[in-house]
Amino acid sequence: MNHGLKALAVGLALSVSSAFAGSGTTAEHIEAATAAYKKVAKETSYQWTVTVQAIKAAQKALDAGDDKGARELAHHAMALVEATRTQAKLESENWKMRVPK
Amino acid sequence: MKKIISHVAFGLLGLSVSAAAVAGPAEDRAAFQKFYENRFPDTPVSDFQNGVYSILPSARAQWEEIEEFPPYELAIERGEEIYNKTFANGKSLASCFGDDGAVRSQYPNWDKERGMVVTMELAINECLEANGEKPLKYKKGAMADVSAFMSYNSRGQMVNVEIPSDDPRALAAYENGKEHFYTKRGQLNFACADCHMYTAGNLYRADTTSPAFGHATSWPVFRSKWQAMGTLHRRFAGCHNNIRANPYKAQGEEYRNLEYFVTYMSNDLEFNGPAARK
Amino acid sequence: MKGQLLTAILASALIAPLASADSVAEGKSIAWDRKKGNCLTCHMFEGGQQTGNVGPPMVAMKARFPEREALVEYIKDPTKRNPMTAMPPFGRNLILTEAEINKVVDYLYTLN
Repeated sequence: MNHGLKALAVGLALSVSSAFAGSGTTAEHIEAATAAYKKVAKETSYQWTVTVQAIKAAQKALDAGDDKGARELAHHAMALVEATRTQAKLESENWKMRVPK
Repeated sequence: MKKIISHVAFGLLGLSVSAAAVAGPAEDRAAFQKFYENRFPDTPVSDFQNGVYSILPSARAQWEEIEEFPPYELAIERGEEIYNKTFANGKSLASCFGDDGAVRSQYPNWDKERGMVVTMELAINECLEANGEKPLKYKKGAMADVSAFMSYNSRGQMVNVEIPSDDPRALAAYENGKEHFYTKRGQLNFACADCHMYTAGNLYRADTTSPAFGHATSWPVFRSKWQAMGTLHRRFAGCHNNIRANPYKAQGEEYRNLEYFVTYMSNDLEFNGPAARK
Repeated sequence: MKGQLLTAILASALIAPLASADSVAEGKSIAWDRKKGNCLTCHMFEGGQQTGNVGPPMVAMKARFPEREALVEYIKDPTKRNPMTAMPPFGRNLILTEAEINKVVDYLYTLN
């Protein structure tokens, strides 16, 4: 994992609600990201490949015993889910301006 | 949205409204086609069915050379064999689609009974399954071959997709496909319209993006990048992967509605598949 | 007094860090990396091969964006200024980190 991503994940860990970031096992954080991904996909039909990749990488890191790396990746996945939701919200209106009149 | 609701409401009430008064599919299509005619004034309208080559004279000669010994020829032959192969029950695909399978212009269509868009590939699998045969995978291989054979025999048929006005669900499916086309998706935040409308003809690295007007006429295609045949839904999925959006299911509702919209936008062009593309 | 001055210098360095040669080089590599900025897909960069023309050529960046913060914000989310743009929101969609975007900007400001 590169330095930039690490910095981002740390930043996100701080910005996500403290209850989420502070408690729970890493496996639970991965589960939470997976559930959030599915929820946004179901509610908006928006789904990013990179989120799935981050979740898979988190699980792989956890399986390899890298708890810290796995946790950071899970938080990154969670941030991607939030960004997906923001995109869906913006686009629910913005798409209309692209229709030629 | 309000306009659509009122349009549907008028339709249900049986009131006649002048087409110009309400923006519906016909007005959408006129504005869509006009956009490309303005953007590419040197391209004759009927030529948009040739994809990127309709706007890229520098690549055209090479493409025409390729089309002289088309890389999809073997696919047509394989498709013909599958098409005429006798099922266990004695029937064949010809029992569903006639001797030559020249039915391309009947698809995609609105199935009122089931309330859904039916594409040619979906119909092929439904024919197989109704006769106790195994369905084919939708993106490549045998399905692309059969589709190539049927499309080849249908060359020259006009694109004439209908959005029946007596079923508001058909309009809803069309609107769903339309919204999909204009909506930004994936981590890279691209709408179909970003690459294939507002920056169509521009260079992304060394690749010129093709105009969406005419996009749906030439499938399946032999794509150099794939070194194989692929269906329209295979390409949809590839585009979504490129923008880091998880692709939807081939022949699922999302892609069928998108096909409904993009094919309707190409009404009055000719079906000219299969074709060779970069 | 000395301490105060040092603090002031440090503070100003934090607010407006001077682009180091390292940062410019890193910024260039992020901008050119196909898995990172991949900016050449759409923009002409001097010395770049097979650059696209979807967006404007990357020249005279200082003249076009005199305010550093405006350029940073633009790269983070260009749709704020222009919802029709095809340019990805590199910050909002987490394509690049804040630190990476700042390095890219360091690099962009060296392009005349």
